[in-house]
Amino acid sequence: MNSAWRNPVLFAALVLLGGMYVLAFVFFRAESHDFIAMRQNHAALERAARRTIEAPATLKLVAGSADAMLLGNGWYEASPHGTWSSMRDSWIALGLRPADTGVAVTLNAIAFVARHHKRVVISADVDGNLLGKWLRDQGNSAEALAFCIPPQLARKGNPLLHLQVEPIASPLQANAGPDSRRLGLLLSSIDLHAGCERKSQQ
Amino acid sequence: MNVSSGLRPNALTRPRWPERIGEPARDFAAILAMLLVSRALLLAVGYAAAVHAGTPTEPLALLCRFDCGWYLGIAEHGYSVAEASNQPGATSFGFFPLFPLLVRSVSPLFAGNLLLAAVIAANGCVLAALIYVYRYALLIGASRFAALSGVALLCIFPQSIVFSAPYSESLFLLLLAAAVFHFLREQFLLAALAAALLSATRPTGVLFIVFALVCSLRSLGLRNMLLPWRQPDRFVPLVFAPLGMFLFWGYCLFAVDDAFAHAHTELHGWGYYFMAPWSGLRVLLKLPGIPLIATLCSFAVLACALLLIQRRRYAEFALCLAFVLLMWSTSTIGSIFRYWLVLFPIWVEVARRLEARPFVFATVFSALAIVNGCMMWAWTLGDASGI
Repeated sequence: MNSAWRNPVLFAALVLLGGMYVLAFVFFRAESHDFIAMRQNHAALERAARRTIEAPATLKLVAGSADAMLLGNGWYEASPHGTWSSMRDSWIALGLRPADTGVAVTLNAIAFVARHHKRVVISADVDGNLLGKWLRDQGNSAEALAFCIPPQLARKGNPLLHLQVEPIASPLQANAGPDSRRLGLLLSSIDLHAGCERKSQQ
Repeated sequence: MNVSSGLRPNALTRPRWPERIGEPARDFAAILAMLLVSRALLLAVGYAAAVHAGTPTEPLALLCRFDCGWYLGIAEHGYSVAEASNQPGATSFGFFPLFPLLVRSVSPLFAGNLLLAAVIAANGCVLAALIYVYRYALLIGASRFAALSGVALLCIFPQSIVFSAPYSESLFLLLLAAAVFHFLREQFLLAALAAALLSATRPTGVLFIVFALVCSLRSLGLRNMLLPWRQPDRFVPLVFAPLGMFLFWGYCLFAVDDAFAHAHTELHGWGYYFMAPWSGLRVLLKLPGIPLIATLCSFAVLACALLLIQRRRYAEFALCLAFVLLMWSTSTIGSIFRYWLVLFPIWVEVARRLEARPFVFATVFSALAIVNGCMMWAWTLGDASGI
């Protein structure tokens, strides 16, 4: 190649390759789904479908409880006091039978609020439909989280409840104990009641 | 020609074979000998540990510990979404593909014996890597003795058994040393090729960009760095460096609809996640056991890396600093010495510093060898500190 053209052509090729990285990265971000989370949630949904629940019911999420198998991705091993969520996103297959009425859900949970977090934001949704959003701080971290699964979602049955806790931290990081695990919510039980209005507790 | 005397011509004046073969060949022989002797000693320690534990094993099996099964699994069956039974979330996507690909491609030469193929491939790579390290040392002005001493340090460095085991470190060291060497010699296409392969070997391979950037900044100056179209050749390795990683991401998207399958399986299966290095360091220093020792070790590595600044090897220092900062940014460090093995510029510099102090060098060498022996013992017994 003519040496006068060599540098501009090479530079253009490098810019093109760099641009392709940017485009590829945007595409990868848009198209990717956490495959481990999807697999574990799918397995939880399958387990829940084999053992459907009718409201009213209380699901115990403590060590040794059969209900702990409803937990999808984002949880540690169940302990005698409940099960800690391990990351920002966690899922539970509720295993509810299809119903024409809404289902009132109460999560009996304690949020881990580290000293350096002013507050923790918790949200719950099913299939992207936001059902509730709560702020928790040192004063109200143990308050239950109540919300309603509306009839249009309850009708499908076996909803996969998605909880999001932001930010999460480990007690070790927050100088609150030796536990190095990142902790979100300590969920001990879930109360389910038939019939509710679409209203969440803030 | 005097045939009747029974002596070949010049037989008395001819140099004996060590002189005859020349310096490069002699140094190659020395490197090969260092590698073979260190491997033999490590295997002897491993065998003694196995006998002591009542489970004598053949040498090849001694080399297959910890992640070996993952690499061989990928080489044999390709990537799989199957999770380890004792480690939920851990899948083969936690391992980059180039080393398993290499093993798979050479395995027909060994009648499909993957473990043998992997061990031969790893040892071939480490031998080539040591030659590159030696040539790099000479290139930056080290004496032959210092260059060989640097190679010796790498051979006896604790946990250096991974260079001979089915692990990707040997290939990584080869490609990193090749990329650095060719970049310094301004052979940018070769450096680009090595850099692209490097990021397909281990995710940290992409940190070569840091070296290339700092090196270019020093050579070109800031003004010319901002006018890259004037000398685009120098930027070829920079732009090619992430290529291997992007190709792997593309494969992951194709295979499991998740380009970031590696990061996700590392998070769910191994508990690795990123945070700011200052937060990570605070956590690491509070963790008991291996992560604490590994973090303390990282301080020692950083202290040794500072020697590179004194020698004005800023690009190499930046590369090593990037490695250390990356380790401090993770939630835990699973290995005490393994991650630092590949930072060869540090070990070459240490060898150069100790060149004039043979007693100190011998002491450091012996101490590292003893620790390496202990690590080999732990490796053989499957103790987590061995890796």
